[in-house]
Amino acid sequence: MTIKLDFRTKLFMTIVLSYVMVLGNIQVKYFLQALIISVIPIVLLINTKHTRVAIIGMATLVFVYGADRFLMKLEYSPLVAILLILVMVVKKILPAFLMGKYTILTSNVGESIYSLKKMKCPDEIAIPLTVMVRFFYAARIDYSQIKKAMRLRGLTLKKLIKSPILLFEYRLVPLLMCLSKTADDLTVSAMTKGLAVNQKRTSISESRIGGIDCIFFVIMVWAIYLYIRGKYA
Amino acid sequence: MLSLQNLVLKFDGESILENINLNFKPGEVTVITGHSGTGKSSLLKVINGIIPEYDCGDVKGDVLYKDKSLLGMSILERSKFISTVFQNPKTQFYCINSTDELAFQLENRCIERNLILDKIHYYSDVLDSKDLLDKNIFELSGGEKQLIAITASGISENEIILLDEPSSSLDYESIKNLKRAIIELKKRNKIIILVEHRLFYLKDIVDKLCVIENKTFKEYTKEYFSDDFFERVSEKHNLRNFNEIFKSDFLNRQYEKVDMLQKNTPSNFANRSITCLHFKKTYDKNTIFDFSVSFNNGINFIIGQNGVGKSTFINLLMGTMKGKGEVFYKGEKLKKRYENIFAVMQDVNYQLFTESVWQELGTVTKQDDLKNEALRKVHLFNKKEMHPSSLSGGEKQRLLLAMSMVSQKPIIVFDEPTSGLCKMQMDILIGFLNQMVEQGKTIIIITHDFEFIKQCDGAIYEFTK
Amino acid sequence: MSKRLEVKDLINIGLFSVLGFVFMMIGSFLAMVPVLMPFVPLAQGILVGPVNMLYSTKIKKRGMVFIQSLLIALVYVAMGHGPWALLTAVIAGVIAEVILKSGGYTDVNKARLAFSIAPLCTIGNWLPIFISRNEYVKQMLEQGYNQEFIDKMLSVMPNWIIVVMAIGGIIGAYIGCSIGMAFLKKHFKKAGMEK
Repeated sequence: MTIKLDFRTKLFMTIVLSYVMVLGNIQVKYFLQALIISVIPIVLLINTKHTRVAIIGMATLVFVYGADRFLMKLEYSPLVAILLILVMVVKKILPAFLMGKYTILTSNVGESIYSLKKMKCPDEIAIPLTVMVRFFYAARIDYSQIKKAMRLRGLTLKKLIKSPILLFEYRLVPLLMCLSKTADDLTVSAMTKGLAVNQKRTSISESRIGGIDCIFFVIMVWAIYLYIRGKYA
Repeated sequence: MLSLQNLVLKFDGESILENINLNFKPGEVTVITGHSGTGKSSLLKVINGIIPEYDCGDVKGDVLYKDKSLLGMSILERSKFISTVFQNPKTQFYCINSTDELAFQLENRCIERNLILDKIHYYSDVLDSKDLLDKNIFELSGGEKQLIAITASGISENEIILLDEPSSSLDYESIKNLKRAIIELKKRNKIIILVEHRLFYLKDIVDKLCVIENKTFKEYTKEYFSDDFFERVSEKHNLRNFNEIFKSDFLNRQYEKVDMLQKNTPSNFANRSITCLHFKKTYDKNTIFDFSVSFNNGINFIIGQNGVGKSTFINLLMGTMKGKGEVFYKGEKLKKRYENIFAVMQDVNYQLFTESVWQELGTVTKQDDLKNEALRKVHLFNKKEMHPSSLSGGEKQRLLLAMSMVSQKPIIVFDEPTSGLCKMQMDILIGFLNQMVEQGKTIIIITHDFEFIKQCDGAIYEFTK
Repeated sequence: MSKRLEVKDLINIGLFSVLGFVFMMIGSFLAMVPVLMPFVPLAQGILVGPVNMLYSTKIKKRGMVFIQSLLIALVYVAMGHGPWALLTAVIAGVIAEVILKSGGYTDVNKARLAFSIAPLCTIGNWLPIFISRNEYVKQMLEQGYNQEFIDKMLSVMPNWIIVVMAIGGIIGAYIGCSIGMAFLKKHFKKAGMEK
């Protein structure tokens, strides 16, 4: 069975993980619980068949927990210090990153915006957010076309590496010209389809908080509880 | 009924259109044509309100719909009864998912969810776009994107549907779908106004033909229509052909069918200019092609259905994509292919980098006399200080032609060079192609435009599977 | 012209938020080599500057920079970088808005100044590294590590370095914006794209 979470739940989980796991001392005080919480995003990723990301995440997790133990035993040297800082930072940030990755991989734009709208998100945020994803795709396509065209014109990396600003210019300026034009066309097109700011709108997307959302909500509350207990009790 | 009354359009005080009087009735298809830059698209923009609300322009006269003037209305108000399908299929989408895009207009009108879904279901069925539902629009072809746009205009149930050169980047199959969709909308009593250069697909659905010329228009109504009439009109106004051209019209030309999955090497490669040997490309374990092909000096057209792998082949030929295969030019193996091939791609906007027409040429050659000569040839000499991006589409293409002329590269590749060109621009293009052949260049052109092939001499290669 | 943001403005905000975010991401690849981490904001600033200068030509109303900063931060939040960038985005966004307004949304030099500050919206992303490290040190003390060891470790990455990074970010963005101004003059004005 595939778990389907509401966008709001995913966002909430990402924020809780990025706060609790980074600021708290759960990893030290409640080692087992910390591991369980860290594994949640990986379970979700496996559940939605993003196996590759899940494996990479799991491997990194195992590696940093192992490396932490190992490095603590070593004598001090600047290299060890840097590595230690790196390891502990990754250890704390990783769960949130994986959760974020999960959010991005599994959310569809229409549903996410609808969810945000339910949280009374104004159009000033919702409209740019919608087109951001669209422009992200457009920029990728445009950029690869420009790179191809440059190569065919002999404007290769090798030739231009001596003048990096020129290289930057040749790549950036046509991209901005194209995207700027796309933004104009898109504006006109959206206006002729009746888009206006802060009008009442319906949506064909469905999103509601269901039972499964509540379960994850409770797990997050548990994480917050551990955070508070670990810090102040 | 929609009517334009004594319409005058001015940009910066200079008039573009003068005294346009036109009536559009429900259930009628009106085709507006004429050379590039005559203000055809601007006329549509006046109707849907983009001029003057978004683009600057001075509108005089009146636009009446059901006896009410539209000129005081905003784009938003007009969107309740006017839909527009734009020229560029890539830039008119607001959503990423095709079903979301179809629902977009009705969502904005605050229509209930189930009703929207019903309408999407109904119109995607009628307009034959069912297979395109719930897809990522960025992964659809140009033709499929345009079909989504026209389905969206159907779903809106607006009475007026404007189409701005909808066929300009489509292949024959997609144009057929477009035509079918227009017929369905016509049956539903819509006022349909098309601005178009390519006319062959409209011959049997057009009710009124308007040619814009010298700031004013000529109107031809259905009573006059006959084969003979269409021929005379296209002759008189130098328009593109109203008759569909078929592959069978090319039987007297050099015509080769190339099977893209046939591995063995034909024997007639010896004397040819370019040979592509053992070209192979696989994608996700599927073989896209695995074959050899060779081209003569002069012009070579590559035709074939969408998705057969023409673009992939060309990319591999130019060396902009990884894959197996060797390229020989006059018996010698080309090591760095892009150093021998100049490409004019479909979207010319990606191919201009510098701050002026003159400097753009400077990236190809340093010899000033060559540059001047080439600019005179393509009629851009008086624009040499201008920024390439400020040129019109046709001019940008001519700038690229000038570059290909001065470059020392012997092979020139074109991808759909006639998309968006009017008859006159097409004739100019053909003239330049012939000049390049005289220079001894080998030209390879991917195109869906049979009219262009008919007007221009050259060998034809049909890629099949 | 109305003071409220219209569809056109919001679509431009979307475009330039995405570009801002993408160039910030490209800049942060520098952190692949941990020693170069303090230079990330500088690189991000240089990269994002030209884009923002083109953006500045589209800004005629209040709120566009603020929303851009907020959106870039929001994407980072959704990606799991923690809520800290929201805080810096609000601060940097407001400062940039004030500067832009003082120039009447037409002054290029003011725009450059505003967009030297605006990219600091993501500086908050670095806070967890410092905070979590400091927390970690506390824990290590509790676990019985000696102070000397911890002091040595801290010397590799002192707290004040975040201030240096922020200043680097401002300098980088200023350079980037200056390059952007050159591009504007050279290309966009000439091409008639600057409305």
